[in-house]
Amino acid sequence: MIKRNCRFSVVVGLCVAIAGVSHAQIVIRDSSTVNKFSISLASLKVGPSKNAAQCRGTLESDLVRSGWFKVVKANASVDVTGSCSQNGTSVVVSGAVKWAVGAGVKSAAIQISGKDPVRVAHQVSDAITRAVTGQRGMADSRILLIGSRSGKKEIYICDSDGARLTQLTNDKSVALAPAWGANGESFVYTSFKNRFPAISLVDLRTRKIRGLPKFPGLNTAGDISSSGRDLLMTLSRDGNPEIYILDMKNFRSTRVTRTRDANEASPVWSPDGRQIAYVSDSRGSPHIYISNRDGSGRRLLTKEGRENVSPDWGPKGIVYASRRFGRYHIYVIDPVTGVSKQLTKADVDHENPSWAPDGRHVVFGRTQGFHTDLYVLDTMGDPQVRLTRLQGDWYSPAWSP
Amino acid sequence: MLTKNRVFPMLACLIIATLFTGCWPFSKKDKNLDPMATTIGEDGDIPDIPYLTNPSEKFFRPVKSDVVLEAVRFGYDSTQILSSEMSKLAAVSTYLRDNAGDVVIVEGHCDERGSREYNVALGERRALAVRAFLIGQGVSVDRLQTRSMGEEVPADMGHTESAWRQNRRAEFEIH
Repeated sequence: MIKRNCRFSVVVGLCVAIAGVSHAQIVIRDSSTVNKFSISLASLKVGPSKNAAQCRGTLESDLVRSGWFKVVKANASVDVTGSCSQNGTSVVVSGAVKWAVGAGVKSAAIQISGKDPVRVAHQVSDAITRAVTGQRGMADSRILLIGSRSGKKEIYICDSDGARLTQLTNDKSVALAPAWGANGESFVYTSFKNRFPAISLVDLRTRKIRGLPKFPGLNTAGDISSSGRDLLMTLSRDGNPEIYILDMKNFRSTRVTRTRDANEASPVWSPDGRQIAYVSDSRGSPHIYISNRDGSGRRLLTKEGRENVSPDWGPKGIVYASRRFGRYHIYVIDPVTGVSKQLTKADVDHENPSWAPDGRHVVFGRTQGFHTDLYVLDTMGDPQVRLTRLQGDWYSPAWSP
Repeated sequence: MLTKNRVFPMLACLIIATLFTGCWPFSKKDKNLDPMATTIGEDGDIPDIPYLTNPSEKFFRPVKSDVVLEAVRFGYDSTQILSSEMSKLAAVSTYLRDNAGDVVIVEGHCDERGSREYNVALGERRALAVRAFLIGQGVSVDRLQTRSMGEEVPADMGHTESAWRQNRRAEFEIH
């Protein structure tokens, strides 16, 4: 997925820098060595309705999941004041967030309402995160994933916390590679429902599924640019799997790679849409390469590890799965310097990473005992959180823009 | 174009290199020379053959499930057609010669190791290598289609070396 704000920062330490420089001086040192703001919801009055209580409960867990906050009862550096109540069929959060800056106090008004108490809580959490840290949150975002519990492989969607898992396709076939449209209201995926692989575009508001132009041979969806116009795909129509760009307006396709003796897959856009990263096995085993969008300037990015696959390019760099000593681990690499950092440690396989819109969290598939579930990791050090808990395998996550 | 008097010294060099190193110099390990080059005799290298076409309606007829053509196996992460598989391919071209109205979908598969997106491309390369071989045997281009299922449809549900060996394959679906 493409996230905007293309600025590479060192993965660990950003929290301290932001907290120290631009915002509150008081930070708590959590047991996990992560610096967090202490936040209190004690001054947020909660109305008697069930929805208001659900909104308040979701808000608290959202703030914890954001990674920026530690919820406390008193003596907090951040206070949320106002009310969370039912108004007709809507839940309304009305008030302010106040936080200490040096000797003074800053505040920002909050006024969010909606019929869905969970969505309102997600939006309030992201508003608080934005106000206090200056950073984008990820509570009000969604994750596309593939599930195999029906015996077939279908596309599902869930909230950023794994809740409200919903089946979206019913192809009774094999689904592959879901990828979001730039607006977060549509996605593409590859289906074998008509015997041969084809890419479909799904509108999430209307649930309408539209077939994109079908090319001879392999058709695999890759990634849609942040402008929403250019879809990266893998096609074999010229006799070998190569990377192409499909213009989603006039459906013209342009070939990017020309590697007759190699296999290319998993293309993704850089956040600014000028470059692409993809997997190629032109050195024998799969590794990640970067090139300009016309295929020029091709260079090998990942120089360590037996195999490097599944790139996703976010503001903090490219996350990918690297096979070392027989295990796949999630790494993040600076596309300019080539400096990489391992993000997972457990002796199990970690694959298919996808950046959250906050540019901080990463969702991935964790396989243990031949069973795969989705987990979320924090590039700034919070413990991993498990997202899926149902029967079957859950994999190929794509976090919304 | 290679002329006759240039081919012989090149072949001699290859044979000498093979004797010295114990392996054919154009193996997959030596791919890091020039990623853009089209080399000769390389794993799964596809000679200049007609581009792929969209499947005709014949490929959407019911599958002839009574026809059993043995699947071709592949090495790990490889698209090279092994000499052990040649008789299976000969059986496919014989079948197509004897059944002139039939068409075949060559379906490439991979074992479960590696990413799903990489594997679906690898399976397509396996199917394309088989397609190129069959075209070389005289099978008409319009009677062949490729399809890759990547690692999604294993023949053996196990997670052992022997299961993986069964799963790295190209199957033949007759229509």
